[in-house]
Amino acid sequence: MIRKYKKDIIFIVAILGVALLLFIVFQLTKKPGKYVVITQNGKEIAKYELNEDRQVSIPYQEGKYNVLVIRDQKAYISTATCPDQLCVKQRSISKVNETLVCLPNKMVVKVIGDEPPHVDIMSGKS
Amino acid sequence: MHLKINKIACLWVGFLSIFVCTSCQCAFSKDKQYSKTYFEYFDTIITIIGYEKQEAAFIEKTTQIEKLLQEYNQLYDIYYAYQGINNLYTVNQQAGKQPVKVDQKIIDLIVYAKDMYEKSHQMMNIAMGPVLALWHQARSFAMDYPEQASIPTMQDLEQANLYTNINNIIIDEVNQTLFLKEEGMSIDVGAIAKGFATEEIAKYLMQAGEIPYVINAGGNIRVLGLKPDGSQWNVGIQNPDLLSSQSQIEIVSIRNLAVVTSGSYQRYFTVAGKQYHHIISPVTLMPSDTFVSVTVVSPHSGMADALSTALFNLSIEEGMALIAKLEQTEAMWIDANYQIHYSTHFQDYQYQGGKYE
Repeated sequence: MIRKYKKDIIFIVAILGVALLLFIVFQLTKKPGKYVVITQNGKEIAKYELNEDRQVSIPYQEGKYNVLVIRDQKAYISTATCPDQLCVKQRSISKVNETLVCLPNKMVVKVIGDEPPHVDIMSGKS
Repeated sequence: MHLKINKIACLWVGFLSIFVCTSCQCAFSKDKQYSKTYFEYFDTIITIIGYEKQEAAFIEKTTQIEKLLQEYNQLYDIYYAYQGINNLYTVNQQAGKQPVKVDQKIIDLIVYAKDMYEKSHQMMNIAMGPVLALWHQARSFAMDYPEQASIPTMQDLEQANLYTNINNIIIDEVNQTLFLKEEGMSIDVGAIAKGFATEEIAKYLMQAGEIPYVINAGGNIRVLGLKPDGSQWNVGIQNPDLLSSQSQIEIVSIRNLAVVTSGSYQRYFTVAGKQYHHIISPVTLMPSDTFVSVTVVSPHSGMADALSTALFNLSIEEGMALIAKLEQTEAMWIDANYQIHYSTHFQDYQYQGGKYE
């Protein structure tokens, strides 16, 4: 029985191995972030350093809010008024480009590496 | 049974490849930033930045761009002749003598420049060649002999100004000729040619759609599309106080627009401790001292270029009125006291963290 499916099993194990290896490599090459940027409705409203522990309430309209916690270089949402609570259930973020999203409150927390604003190009320098 | 396990294996492969792909954010098909810099055109440094999945696509576009740059640079050159072509130098040489058959690209530029003359309250005049030539000579001389530097005399400037009537530039679109009616006239397209050519390059790139490219022609910026992450281009505006630790005084966040900044700090020479820059007022025939920097954001790079010069020569009030009439066009002035002034809707373009939308 086992012999019959030996090739399949080897195949599956090999794939799993490769996937695991790739996953580890990509996890290791992810850059740890320096700041989190909070945007609401697309507008940047705040920016905090990841290496300063803090707890901030981010107000939205009519008594709605999210509470952002930064602890040990990681950021997560501890409490929120939104009905789905998806943002609270999300894993904490710490690497560049990772995000916490709360759709009902139109809020995005994103980890960035360098301090914004990032300038692509300069005008007037000849 | 055997078949079933194969199905499961297939499922696994599918699932895992999706997993691997998302965990590395599809590194294999990601747009990469490429750039290419040219030093030999329009007397400035020109850089093209573009995002492409394949380098070959970038090389293909920049190869074509270089051909265009070479062509426009030769056609719009007022200082040198090139074998086998009639350019603006040829037209100037034939002033008062005869019409010169020219490439349609020259006609297009001159037609556009005449229109900008009207739109700019006559403050950007390509017929100012004779006056600008005196200032150009003085600046070149000052570079070689700073000790003996001097500015042109008012007498000479006024004499030269007799030959600056833009209506004496005769365009014959049917026969594709250009004629300067009076001897002593000359065209100087320094305030518009670079921007106009930049827009032509932008047009070429836009044939491929709203692709994420930037053309930087010596600080004349033309951006196309959005960056691959969906964010707008952030264009820093040079702080006219070059000694400041902050190199940019403002950031605009834009798509499909041009940004041109004219600054008194860009080209100047010094006589007896006083700086004389390169933007000459058609009224006073002297460098305008109201501002140290003027930035124009506009859909057309040629317009942004021409207006940044024109606004330098107008008061804030006149400039504001002029800008208000033009669609999607905004300006920022920095006066001699380093006070910043904005046109009514400039704030729409100001960086406000739009990068993270």
